Amino acid sequence: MPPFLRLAMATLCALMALALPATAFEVQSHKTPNGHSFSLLTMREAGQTVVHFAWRGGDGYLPAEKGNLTELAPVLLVQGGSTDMPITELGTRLNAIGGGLLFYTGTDALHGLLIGVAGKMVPTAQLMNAVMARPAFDERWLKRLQRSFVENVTADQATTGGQAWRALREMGMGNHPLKQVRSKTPAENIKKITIADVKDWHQRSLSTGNLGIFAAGNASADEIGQAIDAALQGLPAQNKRKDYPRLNMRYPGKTILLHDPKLTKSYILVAGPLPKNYAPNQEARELGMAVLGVSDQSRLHTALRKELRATYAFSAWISDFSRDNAVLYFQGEIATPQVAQALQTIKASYTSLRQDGIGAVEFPFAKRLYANRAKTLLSQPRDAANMMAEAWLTNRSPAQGLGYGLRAASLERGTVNRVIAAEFPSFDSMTKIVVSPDAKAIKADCVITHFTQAARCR
Amino acid sequence: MRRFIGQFVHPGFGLWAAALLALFWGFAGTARADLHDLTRLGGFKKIYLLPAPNEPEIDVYVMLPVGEAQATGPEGLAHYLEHLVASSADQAHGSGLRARSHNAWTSPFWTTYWNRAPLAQMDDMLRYATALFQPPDLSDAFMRSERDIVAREFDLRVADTPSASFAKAAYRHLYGAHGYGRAVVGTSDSIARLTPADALAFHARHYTPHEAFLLIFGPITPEEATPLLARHLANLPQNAGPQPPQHQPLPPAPKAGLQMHLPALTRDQVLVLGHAPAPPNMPRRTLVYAMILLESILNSAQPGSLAKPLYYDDFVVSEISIALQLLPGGQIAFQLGFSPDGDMPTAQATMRVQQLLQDLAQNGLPDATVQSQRSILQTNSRIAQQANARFALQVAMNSLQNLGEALDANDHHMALHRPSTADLNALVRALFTSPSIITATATKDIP
Repeated sequence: MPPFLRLAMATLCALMALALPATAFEVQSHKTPNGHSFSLLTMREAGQTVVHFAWRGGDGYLPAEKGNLTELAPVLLVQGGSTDMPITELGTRLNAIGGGLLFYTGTDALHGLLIGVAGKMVPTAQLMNAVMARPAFDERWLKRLQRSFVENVTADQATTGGQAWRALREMGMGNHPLKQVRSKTPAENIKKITIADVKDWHQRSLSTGNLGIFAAGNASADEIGQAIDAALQGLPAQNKRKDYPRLNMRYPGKTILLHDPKLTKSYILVAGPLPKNYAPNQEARELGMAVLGVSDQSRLHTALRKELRATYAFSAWISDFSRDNAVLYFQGEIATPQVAQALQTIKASYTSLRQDGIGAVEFPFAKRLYANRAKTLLSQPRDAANMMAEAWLTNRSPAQGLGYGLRAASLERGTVNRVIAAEFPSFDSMTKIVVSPDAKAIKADCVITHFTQAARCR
Repeated sequence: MRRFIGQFVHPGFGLWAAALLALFWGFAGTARADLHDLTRLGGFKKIYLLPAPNEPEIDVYVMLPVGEAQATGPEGLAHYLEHLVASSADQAHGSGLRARSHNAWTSPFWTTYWNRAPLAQMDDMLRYATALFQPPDLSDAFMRSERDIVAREFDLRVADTPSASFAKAAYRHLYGAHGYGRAVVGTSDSIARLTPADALAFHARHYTPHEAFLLIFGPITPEEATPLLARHLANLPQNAGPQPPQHQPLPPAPKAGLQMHLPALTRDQVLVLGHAPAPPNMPRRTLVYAMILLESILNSAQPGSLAKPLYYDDFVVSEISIALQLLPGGQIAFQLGFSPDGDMPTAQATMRVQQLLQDLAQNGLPDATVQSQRSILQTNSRIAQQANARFALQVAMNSLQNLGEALDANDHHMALHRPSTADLNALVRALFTSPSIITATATKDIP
C-alpha cells in the first residue's frame, strides 16, 4: 500500500469514538435526481458521511484458478488511477477535500465506499466516478500487485497460524472455488490473472443495476443524492455478477497434527460450525464467544496464560467462510512442551462454558465490554452504513441491521446460556489442528507434514 | 515491541486494501474537548484532564519517560518490568473479575499504562495509577514465569518476522552499545537471562511519579476528578527525586553499511537510518511541527515526496516510507524503509533513493507542496477535531511526548502554521547530509 494511503489507514484505525447519532436509527428512503433509491441514516454530529454501494452477486463466474482476481481487481481499480488523471493527483485531490474511497469484495457482493464531508460530497463522488467509470488498469500496476500478493501469501503460509488455517480449509472446503479465494493457494495461480480478466470483472461488476445504496452521516439527502448520481455517472445498467455454488463446509471431529521440524513454535486452532451470522441469536453467540476468548479476563486467556502460563495471547472469534458457513474458532501460539496440556485445558474451558453457561457474576462484566463494542459500531457512519448494506444482502430491513445495539443491550443471561448450549458445537465435533515442530506434541488422529495433505484427514 | 519510530518495515509489505482514504474519522459525537491542566494537584510532573461527556467510559493513561534505552544488561528489561508492574497494579480492585480494561506498552523511550472503565471504577483506576510506583507485589515464582510469557510474546511478534530481526540489527549497527540500539522485546536468549531482581532495581531507579504524566479522558468533569485525584495522589510514594536525565553521546556512525542474508524474506529490504542535530535556533515547537509536516510531505504523492518519483512514476520501489522522531537527547532521527520493485536490482534502487535524498537536501522542497500539504493536514485536523473527541487525546499524548506539555486540538491546528518552507528545508539538509547515516540491506538470496 502506498505510504500516504497507509498513513491514512493507520489514522483510521488509531482513532475511535463513541456517541450515538442525535436521532437514533431513523432510516429514511430517498431517490436521487437520476432515480437511484438509497437509504439514509442521518447522524447530525458525524464529521463525515459514508455512502455504501453494494453490488449484489459473487465472482462465481471466474475459473477457479483465477479466484483471487476478486481481491486483486478492487485494489487495481483504485491504485491504478483513472484515465482522467494519475493516481498521485487523484489521491492528493481526495486528501485536500477530506475524502476517501474504499472497495472490497465479499463472497456475495462487491462493496464500494464513498467517504466525504458535507459540502464536498459531490467533488468526492466525481473522483470516485473517475476511478469507477474510467479506470486506467495499467499493466505495470497489475504486475506489481501480483508480485506483492504472491509474496504476502508466501510469507503467511510460512507462519504457524497461516499453515493451520490452510489445513482447515483443505479439509473443510473440498474443491469449492472459494478455497482458492480464501487460501490463495497455490499462489502461482495469482500470476495467471490478466488485464483482460480485470476488465471483464469491471464490466460485470460496476453497474447502476443490482445495486443497494446506503448512506450514514451528516450530509443532507439532497447532497448525497447528487453525489450518488455523480459517482454512478456513465456506468452500465446491467450487472453480470454471479453467485458461487453453495459451500458445505466440513469440520472433521479430529485432532490433526501438522508436524514440521523446521518450525520454532507451536500453534493450536480449534474450529467448528455455527448458525449463519445473520440468523437470530447472533448477539448471544457473540457474547458467548466474548466470555470464552476475547478479553484478558476471558476464560481461555485466564486458563492458558494466567494459570497454565503457556501463551501470550489465546483468543476466540466468530467469522465465516461464506454467507451460510459461519465458524467459531479459538487460536493462538502455545509453548511447545505444553501443547497437550493446553489442548486439554481448552477442552475443559470450552466444555464448561457450553454445559454450564456464563456465571451470574461473570455476565455483567462480559456484557459491559460487548455492549460498548456494539455502541461503538453504531456510532460510526461507516459501520452504520455497512450494517444497512449487510441487512439488505441478507434480505433483512435496514432497521433490523441497525437493531444490533439494542439487541446486544437487551441480552439476558438465561437466553445467552440457552443459545450457547444449543448452538455452540461440541468440542469433540470440532476440528483441532496443532502445528508443531514436535512430532510427539499431541496424540493425533491424523499426522501430516504439510497443509496440502490435510484433505486426507477428513 | 520496538516502537522506536514506528513499524515501518512490515512482514507483509503491501497491505491489501483497495483504499484511497484521506482521513476517515467516521465518528459521531460532540468532539470539542477542552484541556484542563491539573498539575497543581501535585505528585506527577503533569496532570491533564480532557472531559469528553459523550464517551461511555473514562481512559486513564500514565506515561513514564522510561524505556529500554535506559536499561542495561540483557535486552528486554524495561518491557519485562512493564509486564510485572501491570500485573501487580492490576490488583487495585482486589481479586476476581474487574469492570475495567487495562493494558501497557513499552518503547525505547516511554512506558505507558492504560485503564478504561466507567466513572464508578475511577477509584480503582487511580489506585492502579499510583500502584505503578510501588515495587511490584508479586511472588518470585510468578515473576520468573512471566519471562515465559514474554518469550511467547517474542514468538508472536518477532520469531516469524524477519523484518523485525533486520530492524533490530540495523539499529544495533548504527547505535552500537548505546541504549538506542537495544531491542525492546529482547531476544529469546536475553529474555531467559532477565531476573526479577534486575527488574525491581530498574523500577526503583526509574519509576518516579515526578517524571511521569497522568492524562484522563472521558465523561468526567474537573469538579468530579479533583477530589478523587487529591485523595489518591496523597498515596504516591515520595521517591527520592528523579534521576537527572542522562543522555549519553551518540557513537559515530560506522563507515560501512550493514548487509544481512535473511532467507525467510520474500523480498529484499533496505533501511536507511540516521540522525542529526536539530537545526540551530529553531524553537522546539517549530521543530516538532516541522517534523510532522516534513514526514507528511515525504510520505505523500506530491512533488517533493519520496513516493512520487520512486513508487508512482518510475516503479523503482514497491514500498517506501519514512518516519522522523525527536530523540530524548534533542537530535532528530529518521528511518526510511523500502523494497525494490519488480526486477529492479536492490543496489540500483538504493542508489536512486540515496540520490533523491541528496537532491532534496540540495534543492529543497517545492513551496507549493509545502503549502498544499499543510492545507491538507489542517483540513483533516479540523475534520477530526469536529468529529472525534479522541483526536484531542491523540494530540495531547503526542505533544506530551515531544514537547513535555499537552497541547489542545486548537493549539495543534495553529502550530501547523509555524514551520516555514525554509524551516523544512533546513531540516531536510540537516537530516540528509548528516554524517550519521547508515544503509542496511537484507537480501533473501546470498548476495
